[in-house]
Amino acid sequence: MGSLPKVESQLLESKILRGIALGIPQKARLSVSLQLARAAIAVLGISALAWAISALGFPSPESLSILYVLPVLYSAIFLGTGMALGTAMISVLAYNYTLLQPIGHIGLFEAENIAKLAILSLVALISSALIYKIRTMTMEAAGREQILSGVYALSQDVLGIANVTDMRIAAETKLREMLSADCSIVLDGEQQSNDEPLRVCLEKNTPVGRDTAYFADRQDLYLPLDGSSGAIGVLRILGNRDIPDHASQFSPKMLATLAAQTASALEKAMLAETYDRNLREVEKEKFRSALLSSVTHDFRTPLVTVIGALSSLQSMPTITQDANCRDLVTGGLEEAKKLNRFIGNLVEICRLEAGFEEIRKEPTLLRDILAGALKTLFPLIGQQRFTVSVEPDFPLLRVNPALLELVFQNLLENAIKYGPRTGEIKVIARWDGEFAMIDIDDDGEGIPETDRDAVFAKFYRGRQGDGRIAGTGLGLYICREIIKVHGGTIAAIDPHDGQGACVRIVLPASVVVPITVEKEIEEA
Amino acid sequence: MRTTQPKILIIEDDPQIRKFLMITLTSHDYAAISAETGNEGIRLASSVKPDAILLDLGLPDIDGTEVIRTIREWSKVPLIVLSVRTQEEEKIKAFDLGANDYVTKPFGTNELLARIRVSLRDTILAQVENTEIIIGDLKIDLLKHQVQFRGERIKLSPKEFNLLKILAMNAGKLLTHNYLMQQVWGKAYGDDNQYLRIYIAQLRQKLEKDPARDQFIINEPGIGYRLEIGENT
Repeated sequence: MGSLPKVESQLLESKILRGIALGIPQKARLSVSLQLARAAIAVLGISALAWAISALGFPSPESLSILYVLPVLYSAIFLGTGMALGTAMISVLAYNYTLLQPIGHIGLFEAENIAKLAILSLVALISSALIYKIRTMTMEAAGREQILSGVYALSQDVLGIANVTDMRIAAETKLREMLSADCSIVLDGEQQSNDEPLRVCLEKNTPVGRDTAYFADRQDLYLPLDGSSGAIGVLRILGNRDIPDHASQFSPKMLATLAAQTASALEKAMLAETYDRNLREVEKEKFRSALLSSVTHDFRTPLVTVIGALSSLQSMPTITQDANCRDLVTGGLEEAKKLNRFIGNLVEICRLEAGFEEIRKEPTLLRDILAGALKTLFPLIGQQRFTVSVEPDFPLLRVNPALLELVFQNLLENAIKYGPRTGEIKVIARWDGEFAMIDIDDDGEGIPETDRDAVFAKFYRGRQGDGRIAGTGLGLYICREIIKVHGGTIAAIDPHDGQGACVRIVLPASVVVPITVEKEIEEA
Repeated sequence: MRTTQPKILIIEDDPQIRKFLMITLTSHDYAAISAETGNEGIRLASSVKPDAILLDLGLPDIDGTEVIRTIREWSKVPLIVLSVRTQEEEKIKAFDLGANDYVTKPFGTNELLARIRVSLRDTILAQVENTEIIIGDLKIDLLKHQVQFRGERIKLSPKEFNLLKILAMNAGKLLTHNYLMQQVWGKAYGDDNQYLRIYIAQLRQKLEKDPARDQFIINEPGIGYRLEIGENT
């Protein structure tokens, strides 16, 4: 803002100059006959004055010829070089006719008259050259002022706007007003594929369209909005050759300056927006990690005591001897463990959704993962039969064991919960050289085909066999998220035996670690 | 018997957990001492000379792993880490620094007491010169290289036998991947754990006939394996 007074003083200065300069071309546009009449009147006026002075008894009427410089100057300033020369000619004639003896005689070819004509012509030429120079300078100053005031107005209008949408509207409105042409700003990435000039303008970062090197036959003008790293967009000035607009009067330099101004304002708004977004993202992350640590710590810490205390009670003789006490303690312990599993899901969702933590992966045995999951679920297991069939050449999986264990814990918990108490739960793992496929198949009610996608959505809650809504609606969602970060997919598919539910996990070859260990001969 | 009561140092900042641990350990004939902070824990570890330490990884003053590093400078006392599942990296670091075992919070008292028992047994390490290891239903004949499980003869390859033997000799104890690799395959195999995982899979196939109810080989992700027979079965 320190440069503002300077700009204002320049504006003031150029306004004065423009006052002179603008006056000139308007009068210069008068018709030739009218110009001639004016020159003639001026010469006549001076002649009358000169005659009057000499009639009053001025001692040397010859010296009055100096008065004829005035009409020549008048013509040079207001009527142009040609008219000034003409005026010089008329002046010599008039002088001869009115002041020289014999009066009324014109002796043009006398040496004295030729000298006078030459001098007056010289005056005419020099003064019109000077006038021309002043006029050009003033025009330039006026042009500069126009640019400056335009840029100043634009920068005033877009001052303090920190979002791209508002900035664009403000800039478009201002430019429309200044150029009296329809202007639109197209940002990089919004262009329509069929707008060839626009594409060229963006790619070459150079003006395109009317009177430029590219698509000069078009009526519209495309100016690149040059940002710090290439064109960020294009300013399109809609033109119409038949209706003159201000835009055509603006010099290319001025238009380029306006475009640069718009570009810098837009880029500033973009940066501000990005900064804001990043700031919000950081805030969100802060909130997430605060929630995460609150969930892990504040929820889990009491559970450590609850589960620990109940498990202590469970083995105390006073409790084990009383069937009611035993049931109460066991029930409480089971619920506490269930709550702990919910929290486990919640914690992993927070961590995965935050997405900033890198997931540690190690070659893992599917059986190890299953064993871990089943160990956690052990208290829930009733009469169900479990079959795990893993193909002999099923590879190791480069995964995060704890996360995969959580997947199987959720899937197997569902199979136990939704399946009949005496059903069979099968885990079938195959490797076809391209994908590792793991199916978890139960004998429950199954998942209706229409719900097979929905069950993996966040907070989707199915109904248990007895119609009760069970779970938090996070179990399958977290499964999907975990499998996704490992590059795989999970889906409910048609069950192998036509009954119950079957969930298939497909992991790509990229997570597979082929087994290179040679088999040993077994002891007899 | 009072004088032979093993001393357990609890380093845990949560008062409720500390209280529950104190009560549990005391009621199981341990002498329990507790510290709220890492620095207090380190001080007590050197002055009281506990037989085992229970260490919470999330302490208010210094990092739990720092406590392990400091104590390991002058003591081989068994260290059992109490960690939550999300502290995976710290847990692995704790093992690199010399922690002996861990329990994931929340845990049942049986699990905790088993870990303490195993770690204390370590200190009076196997003076066993028996030719037979018997754990629950598992019987290993070290001379004949024969394994019986639930009265049935199990056929094992020499490496499978060695692996099971090492696990059984340290029953209940968490053995790191590196330790198992070196014991069974020798140093040459270095960090390649693939052999170990494949042989663990084969042992599971032969021992854990019912995957839901037979859980003997416990996988501790990123760290190692332990054999647990007769706990949950």
